Amino acid sequence: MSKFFLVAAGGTGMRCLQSFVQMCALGMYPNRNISILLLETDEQNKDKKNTENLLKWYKDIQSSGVDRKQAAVDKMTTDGAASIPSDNSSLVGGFFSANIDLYTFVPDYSKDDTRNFVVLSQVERGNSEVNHKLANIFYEEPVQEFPLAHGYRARTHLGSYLMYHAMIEDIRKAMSDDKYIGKSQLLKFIQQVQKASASGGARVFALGSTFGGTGASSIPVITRAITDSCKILTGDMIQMENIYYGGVVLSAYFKFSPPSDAHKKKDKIVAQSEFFKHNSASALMYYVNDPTILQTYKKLYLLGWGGDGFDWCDTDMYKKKYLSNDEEAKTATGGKNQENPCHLIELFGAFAAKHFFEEQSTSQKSLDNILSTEFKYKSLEVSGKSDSKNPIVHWEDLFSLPSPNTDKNVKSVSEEIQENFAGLICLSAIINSYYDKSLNKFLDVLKRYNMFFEIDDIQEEAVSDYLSTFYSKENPNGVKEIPGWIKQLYLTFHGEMNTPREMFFGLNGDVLEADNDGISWWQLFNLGKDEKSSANRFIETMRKQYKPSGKNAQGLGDFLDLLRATVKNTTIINTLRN
Amino acid sequence: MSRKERTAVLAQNTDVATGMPASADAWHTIPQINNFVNSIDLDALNMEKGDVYSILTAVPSPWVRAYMMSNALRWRYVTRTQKEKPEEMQGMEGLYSALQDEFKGLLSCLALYSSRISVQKIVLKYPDKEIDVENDTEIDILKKVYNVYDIAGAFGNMLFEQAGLWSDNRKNSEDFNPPYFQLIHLDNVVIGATSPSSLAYPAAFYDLSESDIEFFKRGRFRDPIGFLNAKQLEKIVHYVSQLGSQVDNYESAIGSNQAILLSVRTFLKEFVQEIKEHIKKTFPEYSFNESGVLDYFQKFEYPFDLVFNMDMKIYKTEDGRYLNKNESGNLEEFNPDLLLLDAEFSSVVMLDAANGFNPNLSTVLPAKDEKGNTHYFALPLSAKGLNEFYPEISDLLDVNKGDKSLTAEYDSMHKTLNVCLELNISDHVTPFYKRYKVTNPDEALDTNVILWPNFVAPNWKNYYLYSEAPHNRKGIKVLPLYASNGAVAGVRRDTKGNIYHIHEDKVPAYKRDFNSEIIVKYDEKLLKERDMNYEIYFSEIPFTGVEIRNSTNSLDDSCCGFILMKSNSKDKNESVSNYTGNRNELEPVDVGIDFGSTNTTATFSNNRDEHSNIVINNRRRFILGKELNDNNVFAEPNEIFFFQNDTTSKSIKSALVYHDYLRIVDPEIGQSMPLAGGVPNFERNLNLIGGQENHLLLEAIPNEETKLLYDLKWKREDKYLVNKKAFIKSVWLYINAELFATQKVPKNLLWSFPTSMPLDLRKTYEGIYQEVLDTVKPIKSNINVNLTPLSTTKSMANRALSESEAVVNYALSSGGVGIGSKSIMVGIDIGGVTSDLLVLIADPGEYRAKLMSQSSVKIAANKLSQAIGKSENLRECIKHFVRVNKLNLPALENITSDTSHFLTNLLFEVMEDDAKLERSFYRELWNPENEQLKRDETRGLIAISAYITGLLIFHAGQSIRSMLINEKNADNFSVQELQDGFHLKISPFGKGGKLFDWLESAINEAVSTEYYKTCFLAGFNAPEDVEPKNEDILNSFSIISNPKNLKMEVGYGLTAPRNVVKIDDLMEAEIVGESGYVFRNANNEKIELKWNDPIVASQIFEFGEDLVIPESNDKDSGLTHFEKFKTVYLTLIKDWDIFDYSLLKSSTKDFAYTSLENYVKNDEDWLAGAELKRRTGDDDDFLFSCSPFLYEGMCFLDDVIIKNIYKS
Repeated sequence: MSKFFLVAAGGTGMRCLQSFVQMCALGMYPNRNISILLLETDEQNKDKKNTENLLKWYKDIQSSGVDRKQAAVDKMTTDGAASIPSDNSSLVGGFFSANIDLYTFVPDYSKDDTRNFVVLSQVERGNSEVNHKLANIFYEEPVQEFPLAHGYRARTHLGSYLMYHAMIEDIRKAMSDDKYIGKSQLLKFIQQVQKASASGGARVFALGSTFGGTGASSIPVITRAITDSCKILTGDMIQMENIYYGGVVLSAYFKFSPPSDAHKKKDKIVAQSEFFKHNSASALMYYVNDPTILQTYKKLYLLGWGGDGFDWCDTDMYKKKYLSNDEEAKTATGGKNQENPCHLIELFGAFAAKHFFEEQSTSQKSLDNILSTEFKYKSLEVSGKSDSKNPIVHWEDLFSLPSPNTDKNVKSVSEEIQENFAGLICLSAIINSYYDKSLNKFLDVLKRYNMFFEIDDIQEEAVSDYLSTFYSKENPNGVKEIPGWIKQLYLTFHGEMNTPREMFFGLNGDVLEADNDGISWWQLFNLGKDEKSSANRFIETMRKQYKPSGKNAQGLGDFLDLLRATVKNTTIINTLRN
Repeated sequence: MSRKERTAVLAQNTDVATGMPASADAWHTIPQINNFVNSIDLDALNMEKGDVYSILTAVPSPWVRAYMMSNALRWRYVTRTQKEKPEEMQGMEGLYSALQDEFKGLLSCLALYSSRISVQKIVLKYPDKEIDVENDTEIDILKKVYNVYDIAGAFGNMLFEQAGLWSDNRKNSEDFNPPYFQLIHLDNVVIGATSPSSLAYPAAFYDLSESDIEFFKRGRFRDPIGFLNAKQLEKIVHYVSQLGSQVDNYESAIGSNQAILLSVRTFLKEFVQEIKEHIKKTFPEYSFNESGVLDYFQKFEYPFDLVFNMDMKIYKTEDGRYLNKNESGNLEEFNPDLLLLDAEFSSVVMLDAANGFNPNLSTVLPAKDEKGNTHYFALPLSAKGLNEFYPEISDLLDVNKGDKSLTAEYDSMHKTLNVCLELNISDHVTPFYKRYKVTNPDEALDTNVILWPNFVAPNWKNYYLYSEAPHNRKGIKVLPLYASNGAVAGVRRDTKGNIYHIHEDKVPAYKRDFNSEIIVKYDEKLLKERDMNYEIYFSEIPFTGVEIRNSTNSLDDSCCGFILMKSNSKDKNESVSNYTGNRNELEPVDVGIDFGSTNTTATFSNNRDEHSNIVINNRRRFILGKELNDNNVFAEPNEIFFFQNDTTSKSIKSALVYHDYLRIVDPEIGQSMPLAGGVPNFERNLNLIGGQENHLLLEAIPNEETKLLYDLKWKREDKYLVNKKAFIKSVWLYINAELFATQKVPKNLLWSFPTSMPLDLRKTYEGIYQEVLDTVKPIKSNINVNLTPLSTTKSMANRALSESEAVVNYALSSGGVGIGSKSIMVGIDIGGVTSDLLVLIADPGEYRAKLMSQSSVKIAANKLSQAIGKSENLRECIKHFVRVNKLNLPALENITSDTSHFLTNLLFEVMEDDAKLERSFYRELWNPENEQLKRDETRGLIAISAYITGLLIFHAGQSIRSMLINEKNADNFSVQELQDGFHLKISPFGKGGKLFDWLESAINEAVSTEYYKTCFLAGFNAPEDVEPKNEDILNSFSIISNPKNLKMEVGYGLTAPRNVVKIDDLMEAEIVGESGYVFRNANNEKIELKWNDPIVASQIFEFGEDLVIPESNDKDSGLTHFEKFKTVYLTLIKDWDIFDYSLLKSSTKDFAYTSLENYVKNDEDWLAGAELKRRTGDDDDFLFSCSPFLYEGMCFLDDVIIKNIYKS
């Protein structure tokens, strides 16, 4: 049975990873171990920080269910791959049910001898005249000298060179330095891949953009970087045929204001979104022709945000509107100010990983038969005509399986996804709106219904943080709420006025509007006529699903399982479905 | 699943945008991925905005440029018309269009500027020595290398799966076969590299702003079509067409399925077509030639050599036309590109426009700059080009002549020379361009390279070349070119066809054909600290030009061009004449050389009664530098260390400038050879800085002392023998050149010696002359030059003459002097060191005169310079005189006691042809304008000249009286005829002959004549024992001077007919000239010598010992004859207050007693004779004698007069 490895690189990769983590939180990888390598060049990147926070809370939340998680792992180990049921429901499980191991690799470009291409490559060493000539053949003069501390700034022709060699160098260093070997998270990740390749195979999926810096630089070379690193580990003694690579190729989908002349003058190399479209296109041309990519990637999932109705998100508008901080609204080459809103396409990217990982959607046999990269794309239904076309995303657009013998009594994967989404939205919104943003208050109410859960402070805090990131949180700078992940996805379609609400999974716009604090959560369900009566109905349904466990108080995992079971037994309104 | 309309979640495109059904697993497969990618909707790009190229940076590989270039070439060819509407170029087309333009630019550079292109193969591997290429895998290498980022290796890594495509496909799969590519440079700037998918692609960064490429704008190549002229475009058409045809070669060699090159071919065709249409439209007058010739280009390596290297042959017909087809099949192959220097390795040298070269002799390449100023350069021809164009080199540089031309433009901003060689190939003028760096843009070459002589001829064998840019120095250097084998023109090649250079001929194979050698060298180890260096070449075949080279970092120097001698020139006076054909019949002549102590004169005579002195002309010709013969400034080194540039009308100084000993190639041999052993010096504007006993020191080269040897003849030490040889050999060389130039050849060398010269020295000179004839034979002729031998025969017919004999011969044959039966002629030849006194009377026989007596005396013009040396006042007076009269004698500004002798000669030389100036000088001495100067000292110079001349005339009186009363002449009818009285004709000769004019000029003619007459009569009547005292013996008294041939009398006398003078059989030896001398003979007998007794050598040897000097008395010195002369002399002094004669009183009486013996025995000749006698023990070996009277006179002058006047 293949093991799952995810590589998320750069800002877009981070946001894709956020979607992936949310997927894990939403139960998309029940009881699976997933090793994630986070590649970034910019230690300060806000997207990276957000992702790491998310994962931290994820782990904190998950810690409550250690026993449960362990049981699942034990089950996998004893039953093996063949015992994994092939029915749809096995692909969706409880909240926070995947086990995620995070590895981070950030090349250090802060030192004097690593700060730019020229010093890193030691151009002056050896035959400096030839070295300079080579540098000029490959790189424009400013590119050779710009500081790398904020990443590759859309200079992927440089970034790919640097990232490949940075990874190789880190492995070399770990292999030759006893002190460093324990510190290298990359080495650990590579060891995991190598181990998996030797036993059942490793499926490695890469997330990143084609138009930015780090991600666009890393995705094309990550296959060779990982394989070559494995070879270095094994002394080039072992063939690496059981590493299967997949990845998303994300074309441009957002924009920001062009940098000022002063900014360009100061930084010389600045990412410019006006060229993102062309950057993506030229990168794509490369992807589809480059023998290395074609020979190493089994599948590449192309995603873009073009066509009628696919409006691009203006990150500046978003920042101005929701973050309310002029400083942050300016174009950032990277660093702590680089924080862009999450996008539906990133969720598609995360689901591409799922499509690649799952044996049901991508069988190992089919992977073995692929000799040259298979390029995939996704389609959405459109409504409206000519100038006013609107794409509509359905749950089955996220993940679906051809199921010739679908038992009507068995819910489809997409239905389960829908329920899990609704569950987490519900939990977030109900706490946000009905229980004054306090999980404890909710739990206290449940106590009144003899539902006891023992949740410590760390978990409580992790849940609160997680849910606020998922749904929305208070804006310390202003009066408005800062939209959480799901609301940011909703904004993908609804950032513009007058677009039909139903475009987004048919979910009620009142629940997901950015300014909505959750008061309309009940409208997702066929529960009652107002929030209060709906909340009572919801708790009542919970109570029916609650299974006391004797003397021992139940933990956070039980609480979440209960929540999921409640949602499953609650009718979800989805007017657009069918 | 919905059956509703669906749209792809992809970048906007026209390929898979809408209409697909829902997919069962939520994902669709893209079947034609390239179609999709190519159909992505993109906005038009503003290609003028530099940022747009940043799109290229989005391709995640350092090899993006290579990759995108192949994409661009696969795109449709974007025409100029399409580019005029950029808004219609959607998506990537703008970028591709820009990349296509860059590609065109890259190819255009290769086509037009091939000489400026260099190519460097870069193997993309790590340099680490630890790598075992045979056994290490790629992963092993990655593990081992020191720096994984090391550029070459790291970029090689980034080829990943494509590395094989960039490797050498000829190698076995087991071989170490790293990828490689080849960098393309223009002017050493990397502009691109080779690529298997597009052949070449431009660099990411190239700055050609310094390179003046018309189509390089704002950081990259633009479409060159709009920037170039028709000729250039035509060349691109031919280049690109040829390139297209060579793509096949490349493909077959590579063997891989490079379908991509199909698009390259198509692109090249479109490019050619577009250029042709552009030419037709924009240059309607231009006649486009469908076939053209490309620059030879062989710089790429496999496999790109197969496509980019160009070796288009043209063919040369026997009559010198060029064709691009081998029409007859047997025409000589010819590659025009190889006619010019390789611009990659060579940079041309700029010549100083004003002084760098001689436009009448040197072929140089003119080039105008942007401002219209003309600069000049060495010809950037290759060895092959030299060979090809040599016969018509002048026409080549004249665009209006012939069917080929070499032109250039100088880019002063970038300091480069753009050279265009145009050849008519198949009736179409075809240009070849090269651009050269200029070696010395900020300091145009201004050095001197001089040839001698100024003619070439098959039968002339001595050529010299002087260079101030020695071939082995650092920096710019000059190497001579030699004429082709058996010719006087052309450029000589070695056996391998390379240009022949003597220093490169390690095995001197050339010696079989001709002799050439460096005779004065530059040795860096020994001379590198010197301020200036030079070398001199000798060759038996002509020098035909020079190659200029420059030091490089590598072992070999780079060639910087050639300067060739023009075969025809507007000004023959500045060119080198070719005497081929008109020097076959040479007229044999007799040549006389008068090697005098101060001056040397040469004359010739022939059978046609031509009789003339040999004028030495300036036959130097500058191939680099210019003749700047400015006597207002000190002579330049080239004027001192090489053949002289002053034309000498009469004589040259007997002075030799040494090369520094360290500069002579083989001192042992070289010191006695012409030029190597020293250079006869004609210059008078020497920067003299001092003197020593035997030589002067001058600063010919800054901070370096150069020795000048003067009065060479009288240097007796053996060590000077080589110098004498070197001097006379050089003079002989000059003489031969002058004769040859006038179609003459020497047949006999006639020479002379001073009468006072001892026999041994005469013999030495005879040997020297013979060696000269044996070693210096510049004229190839069947005539062997004979040397007149030393002989004791009386007949002067065929032997070396004494100078007196020569002078007499001159006087009577050419000098205009006639001797009647009642005449006596006294010839006085006052030389630099010695004077000769001759008495001639009529010969009753067939001769015009009979020589009755001959005296030689060491009293001569040098006494004047001794005085000047001692007198500060005199020197000041002279300096003043030189300044006032603007005499261009800067050396005299620094006259010192050490240099006075040499410089005084210079002064008198200047004055000798200018009577007015001469008088002015005497007046200045008489009455110096500077009143502070002591008149005693300035007038003292006149007193000295009066003393010398008076003394000699006094002695002439003694000699004639002796002749008249000599019993041996009792039967001599001619002598007897004179007993009652005679006409006395005094003929002064030689450089000191002028001394007779001084008195007249300073005081007046009457006083002068009276003084000399009195001196003569005093001498004639001096003997107490002879009666009567005859004051009326003189029927007439005249001093006959002939300034025309001043100083050349000996020379003329040598070559004059020898049948005019008979030496009397009884010609008297020198007489004692004084009464009272007693000689103790071998038997210890005291014999009193009479005044008119002959004085013999053995008596002079015993001077002051067995030859007892008369004692002084109360009144005077006791030297009765001398006292008589002194009386006459002091009367003159007293009468005219020439100096304070009382100064002399105290010391006159005892001067003989105190000084005379010592004076005699310090005479160089006395010492030499005594030394020989001591060595051999043979008394007869002391051969020197001189009149004791003359010794008295000399001693008094030196020890009394000069000492007293010039006490200071």
